[in-house]
Amino acid sequence: MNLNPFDLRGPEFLIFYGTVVAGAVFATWWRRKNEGGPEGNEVSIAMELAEDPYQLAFLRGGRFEVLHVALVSLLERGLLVGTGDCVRTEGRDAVKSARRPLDKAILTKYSEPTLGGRGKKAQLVYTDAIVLGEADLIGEQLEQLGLLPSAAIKESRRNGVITTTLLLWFLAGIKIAVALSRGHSNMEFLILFAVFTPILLLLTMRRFRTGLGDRTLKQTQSLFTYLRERRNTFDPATGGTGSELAFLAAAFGLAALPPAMGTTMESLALKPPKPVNSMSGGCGSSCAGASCGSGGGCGGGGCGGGGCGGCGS
Amino acid sequence: MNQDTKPADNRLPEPLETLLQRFVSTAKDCFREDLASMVLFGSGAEGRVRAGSDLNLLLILKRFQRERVDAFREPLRLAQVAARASAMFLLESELPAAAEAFAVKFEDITRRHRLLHGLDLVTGLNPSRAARKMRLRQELLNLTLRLRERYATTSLREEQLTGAIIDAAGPLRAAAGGLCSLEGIPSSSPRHALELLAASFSSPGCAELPHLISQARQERSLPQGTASTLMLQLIQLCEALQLRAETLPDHEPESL
Repeated sequence: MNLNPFDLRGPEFLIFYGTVVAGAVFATWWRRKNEGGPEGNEVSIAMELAEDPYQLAFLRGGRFEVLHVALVSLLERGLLVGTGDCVRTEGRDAVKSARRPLDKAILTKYSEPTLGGRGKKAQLVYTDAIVLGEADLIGEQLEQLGLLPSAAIKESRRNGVITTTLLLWFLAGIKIAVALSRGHSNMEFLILFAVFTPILLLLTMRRFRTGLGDRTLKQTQSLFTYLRERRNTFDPATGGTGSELAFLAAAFGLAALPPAMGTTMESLALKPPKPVNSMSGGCGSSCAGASCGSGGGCGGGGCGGGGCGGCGS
Repeated sequence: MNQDTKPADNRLPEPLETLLQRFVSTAKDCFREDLASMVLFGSGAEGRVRAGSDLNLLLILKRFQRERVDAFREPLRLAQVAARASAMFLLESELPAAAEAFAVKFEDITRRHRLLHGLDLVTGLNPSRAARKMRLRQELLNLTLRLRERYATTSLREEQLTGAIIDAAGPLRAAAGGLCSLEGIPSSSPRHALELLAASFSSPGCAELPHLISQARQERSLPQGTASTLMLQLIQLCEALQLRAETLPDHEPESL
């Protein structure tokens, strides 16, 4: 009995090759699942993480989610006030009231006086270097905890995918050489398979969180199920009684907010920029009534979304 | 979340039990030797919770020290947000005085609590009958005044009135529990006490009141057009309970 796989006929070799690829994908998935730390570690980390809505928000959705939750928190605390798609600080000592560096950075940005006193566009929070820097520091803390891939993990992922791909291509290459030497040329399926292999591996490996991060997020969200169940029992006058809204948004996103705060956040018209930035923060910075059109204030066609005309400060 | 369900071992449903255990562990780490005792009281102590229920915690401390309390603030905030926990910080030396000053509450705590850490310092508490009577009258009067005010200010909006009825359920049940205890009527829980007392009054609809309140608490709504009538019946019940509390004898009743 000949056990040399390269002597297999075309269809049989494709089945063999597919099995090897499936094994490689499974190994890649298994490796990612155990990234960051072994199973069980997430229980204690989830408790620590649950105390910090900003870390939780970053773990769930990245830097822009932290900014959303920070805005919800500051609006909930009354340190920021939203008018249409603009926000401004409330009270002269708002910045001093904040404890966290990210809160201070956001409040500082929106505390500068503007024409008409309506504040600045909430959208500008995405383009402030100081604010983004503070948000990224939270991401670094999560990397240190093994919840997000650090540079070393990312490199290890990359090397793993490259090595596995090369091995699989080597296997396919030998078969192609053997086939050509025997006068066969019908290798289209194998070539196609080999081309898609790295894509499969990349899709399996390329994740925002590590395996430990995924498990920790799930565990942390489960701690807030009771909060989500009673989200409609928050006092409608205040939208909550403390920090509930910030934690709710951190654990489950803005869509989980009760209608009162959900509407406020919607009216801020927050649209995170795409990774390749097309706007570069050039839109007008203030929400002065005189320069931003009439009626509904500063949103709508004036200078929201991607357009950027005629809304200068 | 279970609706007023009571597990056999009084454990809370998940994730509340996990949060509670974490809270206890953190409290021990933060307060160390200053934490003399910690109990869960109220319906949570019986494992009964529903959406919107509070977890009432009593921390009995030897000292209230800033650095230890500061370390406890983040875990406390998590417990407040995720489990709707409310914590009462009481010094060990204040315990007898607190039991007298908040006699109805402490009578309930002595009856329904779950020891989470340290010595059980609340079982032996025995607020005086005079204090329990005085406090009961005060609480019933306060509740009556609040209900009248809520009726006058919110009855134009039925959903807000329903909220007021839901808010009143806890204090009303606690007062009923206190009154039954003072009258020597055995009751298994404050909720049961309210049912017993309501059934003893002859005014129309009174006996059904506790069930309607429970329904409002569980479903957070009432049949359309019923909230105003229910609120007025609730006020009448409070007035009747007040009258009954006024006529309580000074001595402990013979067991019934």
